[in-house]
Amino acid sequence: MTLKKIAFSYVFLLVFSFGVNADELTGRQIMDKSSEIHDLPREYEDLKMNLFDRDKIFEKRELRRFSLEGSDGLFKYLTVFDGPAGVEGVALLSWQNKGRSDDQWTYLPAVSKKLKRTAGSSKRKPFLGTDFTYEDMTSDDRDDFLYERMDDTRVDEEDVYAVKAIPFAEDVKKETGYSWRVFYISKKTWFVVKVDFYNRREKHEKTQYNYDPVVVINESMRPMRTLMVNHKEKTSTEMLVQQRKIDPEAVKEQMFKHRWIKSGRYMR
Amino acid sequence: MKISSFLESLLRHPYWCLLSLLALVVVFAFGIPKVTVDTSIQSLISSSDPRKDIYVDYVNNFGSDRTTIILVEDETLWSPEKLEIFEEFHYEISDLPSVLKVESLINVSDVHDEDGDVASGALLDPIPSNQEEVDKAKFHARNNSLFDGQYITPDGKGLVIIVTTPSYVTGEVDDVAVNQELVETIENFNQYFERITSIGGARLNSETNDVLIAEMPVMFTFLIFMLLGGMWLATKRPQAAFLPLITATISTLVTFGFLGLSGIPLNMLGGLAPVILLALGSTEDMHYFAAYMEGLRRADKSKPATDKAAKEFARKFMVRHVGIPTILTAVTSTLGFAVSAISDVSAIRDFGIMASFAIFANGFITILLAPTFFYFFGDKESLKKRKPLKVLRKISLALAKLFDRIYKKPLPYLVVFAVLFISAIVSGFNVNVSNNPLDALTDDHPFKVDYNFSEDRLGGLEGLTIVVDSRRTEQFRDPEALAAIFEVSREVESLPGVVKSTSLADQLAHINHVWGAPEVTPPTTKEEVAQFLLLLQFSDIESYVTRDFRYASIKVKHTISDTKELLLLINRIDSILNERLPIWLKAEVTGESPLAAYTATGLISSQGQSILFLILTIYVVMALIFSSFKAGLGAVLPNIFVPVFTLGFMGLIGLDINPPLVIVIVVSIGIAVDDTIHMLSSYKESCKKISNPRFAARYTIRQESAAVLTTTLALCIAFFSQTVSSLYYTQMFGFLMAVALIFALVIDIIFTPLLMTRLNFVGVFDLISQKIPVDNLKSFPLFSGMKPRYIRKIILSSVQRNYKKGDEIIKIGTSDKSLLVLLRGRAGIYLTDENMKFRHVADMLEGDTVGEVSLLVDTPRSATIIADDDCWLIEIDIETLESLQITQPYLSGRLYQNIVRILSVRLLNANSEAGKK
Repeated sequence: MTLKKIAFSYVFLLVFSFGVNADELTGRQIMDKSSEIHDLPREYEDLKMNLFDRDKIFEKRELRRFSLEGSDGLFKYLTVFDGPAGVEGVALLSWQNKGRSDDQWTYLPAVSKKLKRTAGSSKRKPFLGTDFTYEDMTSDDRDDFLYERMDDTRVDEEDVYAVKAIPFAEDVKKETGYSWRVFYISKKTWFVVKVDFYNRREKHEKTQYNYDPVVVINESMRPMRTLMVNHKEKTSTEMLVQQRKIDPEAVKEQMFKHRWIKSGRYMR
Repeated sequence: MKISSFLESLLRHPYWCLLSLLALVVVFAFGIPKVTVDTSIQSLISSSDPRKDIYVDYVNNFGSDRTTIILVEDETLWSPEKLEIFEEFHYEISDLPSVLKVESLINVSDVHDEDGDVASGALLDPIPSNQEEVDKAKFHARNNSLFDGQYITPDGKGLVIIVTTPSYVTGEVDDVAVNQELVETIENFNQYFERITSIGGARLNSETNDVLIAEMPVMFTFLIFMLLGGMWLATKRPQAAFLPLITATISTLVTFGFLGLSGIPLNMLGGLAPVILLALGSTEDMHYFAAYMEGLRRADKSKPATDKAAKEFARKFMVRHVGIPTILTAVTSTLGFAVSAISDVSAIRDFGIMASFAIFANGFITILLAPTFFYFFGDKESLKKRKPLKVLRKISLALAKLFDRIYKKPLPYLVVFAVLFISAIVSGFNVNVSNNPLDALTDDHPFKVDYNFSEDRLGGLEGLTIVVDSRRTEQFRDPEALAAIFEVSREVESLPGVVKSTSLADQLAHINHVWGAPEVTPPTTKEEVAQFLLLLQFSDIESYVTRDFRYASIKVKHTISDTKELLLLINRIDSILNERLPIWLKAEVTGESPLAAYTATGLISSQGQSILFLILTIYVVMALIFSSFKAGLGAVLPNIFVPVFTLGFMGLIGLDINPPLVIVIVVSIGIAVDDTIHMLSSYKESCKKISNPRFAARYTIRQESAAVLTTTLALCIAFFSQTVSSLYYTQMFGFLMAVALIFALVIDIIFTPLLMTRLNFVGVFDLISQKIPVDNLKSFPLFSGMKPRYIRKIILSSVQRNYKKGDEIIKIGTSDKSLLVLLRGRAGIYLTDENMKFRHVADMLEGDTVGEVSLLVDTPRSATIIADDDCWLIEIDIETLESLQITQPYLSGRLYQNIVRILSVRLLNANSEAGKK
């Protein structure tokens, strides 16, 4: 956790300790509280992914996803494909950078035994043909955004806060594919149940639903099913969690190194 | 009620006629605001062609292929500031409601090698922030062979936005609205760039619509002035010009109302309707005018008591002489145009329905209006100065003389005619068939200018698609299938006229190369294919493969817009497909332009069938009218010559035939049949007065040629004036119609009379309408053993003569090669004595014949015959007999037999008399 984040958390706790009424919380405070409860430094997920065109599945995938927060507060991600046939072993390695494009490498075992660096990769780019973009798959630095609290509402009969996240930092403003996003956060659990994505043309383009949340540690929750619906393309991507681990043994620093991938140790 | 009684009743009720017309206009006026316009390429594609189903399947599988290519050029385009505006422009277009997809460097994925790294994603997403990055993006865009000429001009200066809009296959498309949205967006960005050029089906269709709608009233007005001028020059009477003008205007209003009420869209062919109506209508009206003037002339001779009586006489004369032929021509022309209604090309089908309705309405309106018009505006007396121009009379006389020369020595002329006819057929076979919607506009039209500019900048704007069906899902993930389409794609790209050929295999080959393959070849293992596909967004490949990977497409970009050359290209592609593709892959060439080209190939045969049906209809109608199959054949011949010569002329000047120009053939038949019917009707009238067919034909030429020449002159001017149109089809239509009219004139003035004199025409209406006491006539020696219908036919084929008591029927010493039969009345036969006084020698009673010897041997009349009572006789001359020999050999034989019998009896009597002496 960065110093800035620690400082914000401190201020946040301080404010709360003086008994601020929930109705008086700012957007930022709500986001901080949610992050405080649910952010995890490392994570491993075993996923089944279904790609829909309208309501029909046109592709099924199996993948594993690893994420690890570094000491600088920036994350590293590794995505490994286990299916369908032909794509086993395909790996995507991503290192988050502050103020510039992330570093990405792609490993196609059938094509080359080397990881190919992906030059000038854009966060707006769809993530491997899904309805998620690379920026949807990574966590935000909250300092880069302005959080505007909107009217509270209900999602699936649950009372939620609605917070509009507007890119603030110049580099983020330039890179992001969104004008803003609206996070719907459960008043009860501080869990993000839904996100509306508004594209650079300020049109509501996508919605992400986080279904069936389960507590993974303390109060921290994770969805068992995530659905991203692209309203314009009429496509959607569903991610079903088969297994999740958050312990240090499951996600290690070495997993995010080229050598580990090239050696084939990432394979099941 | 008989037709003639109905027509005459119209004379008595001019106000009712006017009211009926008004009611007609009011009813159909409600439909006018509902008229829709359709100039789309779809309307030029055959609906029954099985290849259309392939196209429909293709669109359903791959999505719409209707695209608009927007080319943006600016000296400083490749700068961060201008690219920001370009990005804004891209997204403004993608926000338009009718836009399905927008592709440009803003969103199309690129994969390239960057110092050993793989760069992927849209080159301009996000827009580079500095000039160095901009130049790098430009460099990579220019070096991607899949982008070159597609999203960036080959010189790198221009950027392209490809806009996909809905296809007609998946529902109704309003191209005008689609184009309007695009035009408005482009206008907003015009200020930022030096030039923005937009080319696409929506614009072409919309602007063709615009020209069609904007030009129709202007061209119609122009046409009217031309026609008025022509008619005025020819007749010096305003009625001759205003009657066609009013009938054509009402007919056009009613027809457009019909289109609105019936939901039939107006198309490029339909836009010609007012012109056609004016053409056919004025031909008809001119005959009315000529008949009215002739009626006045005859009224002058009989010296009517008042001007009103003269007008009434002229109107009656007009209706009697032109009424039934008008109905006949309306019916035949309606049937003729209705033939096109069975076409499977919707533009031709809709035109067929529209034109047949229009012609029928025009006939109906003319019948109602003409007698009423002359009631109010008809001249009261015949004046020489009101007759057609002196020059026309001179031409008429010259034509009559020419006919005479041809009649006397027809062989050399017929040989020349036959040579010309055969040449026309040969030349007609050289006519190329074309069906390119781009042909609708002239070269200086802004769309054509932009088209040529964009083609020049991008190297080719035309496109077709090869759809490959593997018959198994997931097959196009297989390297073998990909290798097959890659090979085809490369070979197609090497064909002349082809600029680029792209497929999924080409895309994968490009990525494979970037990932290290030494050559640009598709991946060779299933794993490689799967792993490369994982890197692609489906929107990057959706134009090339279906979701289930069963169907693949090869997009072929080319420069060929000419139908013949396009068909040649398709044939070459088919050969490659047959040779290169394994048997488990089935491929077809499809797309809007190939379909239009396929339709063109079927156009001539389908229209040939339609024209054949039309000619057959005319033949049947004519055969019925003239109650003779041979006469029907004779009457239909001129109507075949006109289209053949017109087609031959097209071949001679190298003009392609296309759906709108096919109409020229049909309309030229319509005009020819109109004049033919009037010529034949007039000839029949002449034959009642003139026994000699040659003289009757000469008289007919002199009577009719003024009207025919007048309408031809006026219409030629009017049609030729259409060559100033902005629509190429209208230009060519006008030009060809003027040519066809000249052919129709020559054939109707020269050839039709020649046929008339050789064939025996007895009108079926004459047979029905004239009361002939056949039962009484059966006992007459000349008609002995003949069936009643033959007796009628002989009477109606002959010159009928009516005499008052005291009139001289035959004068002694005159030389007429004809036989007279007294059908009713009584006459005295007289010889002259030494003092030149008449001496009654015998009576001529009903059934008696005189002149049998003169008929056969050409001797002068041996006696004078004077009517003792009102007499009705028929005169049969040697040419009538010869004509009967050709058309009715049995009847002719019987007639000769009876003449011989009469002569034998007369000889026996003479011998008996001589014996007694």
